[in-house]
Amino acid sequence: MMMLAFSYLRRRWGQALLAMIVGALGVTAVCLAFSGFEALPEAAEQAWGGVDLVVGPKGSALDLVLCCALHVSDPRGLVSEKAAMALGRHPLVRVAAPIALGDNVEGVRIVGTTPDLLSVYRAGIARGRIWHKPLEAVLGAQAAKALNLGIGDRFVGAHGLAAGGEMHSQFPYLVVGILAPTGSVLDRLVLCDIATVRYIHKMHAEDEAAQTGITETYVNLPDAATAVVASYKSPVAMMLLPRLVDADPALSAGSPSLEIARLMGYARPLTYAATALGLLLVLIAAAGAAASLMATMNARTRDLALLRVLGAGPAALAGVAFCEAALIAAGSVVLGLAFTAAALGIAVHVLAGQTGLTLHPHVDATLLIAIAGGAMAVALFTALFPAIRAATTPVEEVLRS
Amino acid sequence: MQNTDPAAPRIRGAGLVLARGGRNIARVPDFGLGPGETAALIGPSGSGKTTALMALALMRPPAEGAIAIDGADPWALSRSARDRYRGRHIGLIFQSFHLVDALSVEDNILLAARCAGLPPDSARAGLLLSRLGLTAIRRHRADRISHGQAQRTAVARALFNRPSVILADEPTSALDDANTAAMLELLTDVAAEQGAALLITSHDRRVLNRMDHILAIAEIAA
Repeated sequence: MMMLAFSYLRRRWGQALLAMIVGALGVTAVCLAFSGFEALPEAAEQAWGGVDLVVGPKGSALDLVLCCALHVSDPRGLVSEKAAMALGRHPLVRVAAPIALGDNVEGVRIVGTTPDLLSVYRAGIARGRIWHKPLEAVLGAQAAKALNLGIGDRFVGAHGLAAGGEMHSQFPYLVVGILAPTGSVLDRLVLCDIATVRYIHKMHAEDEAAQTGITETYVNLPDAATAVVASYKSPVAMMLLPRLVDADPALSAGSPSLEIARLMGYARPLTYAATALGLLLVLIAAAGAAASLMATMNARTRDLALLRVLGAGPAALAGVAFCEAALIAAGSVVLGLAFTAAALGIAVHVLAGQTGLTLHPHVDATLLIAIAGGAMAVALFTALFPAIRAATTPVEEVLRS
Repeated sequence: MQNTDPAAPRIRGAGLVLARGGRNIARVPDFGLGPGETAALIGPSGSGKTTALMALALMRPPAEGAIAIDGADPWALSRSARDRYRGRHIGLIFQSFHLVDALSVEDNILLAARCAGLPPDSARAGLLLSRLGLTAIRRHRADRISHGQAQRTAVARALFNRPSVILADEPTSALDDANTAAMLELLTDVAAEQGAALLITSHDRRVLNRMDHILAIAEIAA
């Protein structure tokens, strides 16, 4: 009966393909809603690595996290390293490190910091050594690959966080070390002594001040830093430290896990909407397949009557209808998974290109089983009415006509 | 259902009265056809020939009377068992062939076995295809073959399960003399070879001359 169902499908392949595509779009929407949206916070968590808290200037905690933990947005201001690092001495903090942003090399951020940053991310040097002097740089594993730089190579930073800024040609960096991959955002950063970043920006700011009369913070604040990132010693710190920091009139605290959870909470309705859209598409596909199947069954009444005349029982007739619906459903699932893989592949590429976040989306076995089971249930339901009709067809009248 | 009486005719009808629309319309003379025997069921148009054939093919119960195939009463079976019985023991050839257009010639023939729950014997299909001159078009779809090829495909399908009874509804109605002779020769030869009874509805004299028995349907006046 499968052979017969397949022959029928082959004969009306255009209709069948259309039904499969509609069904596949439904499967894709459901898969994306369940796997894609789950992958985003996972990617973010992997990116922020060991950073439990970001302390920065007064303002949005989410901004702080996006800028200084995920490195996907620009800083909103500067803080005094001394004030922010007071947190680092708290007994609930395992380690803390200041970071100073402001330059890039071919779009890769140059981060002025202290060697403690490696401890925050639990990172290690793969080749070379840590910086000891100004203008010595240590490259994240991906950054080294992307910039095609090795130990002993030199490069020049540019002003700003995006590629294309004014070059600081008088301050060439020397690559002295390359980090082992961590899977975190550290992999795509260039690290150097924080004093180097301050010095370069002080020089830049003084040049600008001479030209415009405007004095920048780096000039006014000798221990300027973009933020301090910290790793907790104990989870209890999560309850205490952000409040402690927020009590300071000049500082704000951002917890990556809380802020990303909050952000995903805002996006949750989108997940529900995508799931609902997916289910709606699945239902439309099922209705379309049912209508199409009913129409073909009507046109095929003679054939089905003939099958009964040749000895096929009601179950076999139902089998023809079910096989046909099941083939469409199976095609929808396979096509839907292919669409999902393609969509996620594009999303991974685009997200990595725009934010550096690495998505690792996966459709888990439970979801696969649910989708396959659901598709077969829809196929069964779709085939039910044509099957009943086929089984109750008065064969004699049909064959006479 | 087993053959309960080896000596019994392949098919036997006794006291058959046919009804249509709740009214008795015709009476079929009592008959019994043994292995290889042939008969023509005759009567004017609308007299109930096809209705009689439907009753003998277990698709429509007679208003009165009994039908026995190989000595057993298939009308005693449940509907699905009767469908299966028909598939295995009765070979039907329709006036309009009723092939499945989506399938190839060979698959149409094998459909007889598949629907009857028998293994699709490719060797037998090959034999029938060869015997009926269909080997060259075995992979052709049924809606892309000629009228004559479709007719031979329908015959091959009817013969595939080695039925006890072959029932054919006006199989020569659209054929010229040469093709009518060839068709009748084929059917009678195969019936003889397989030991099947052959019953044909027709009002074609060319058919009647070739049959062992003529069964004239008697209309029942309203």
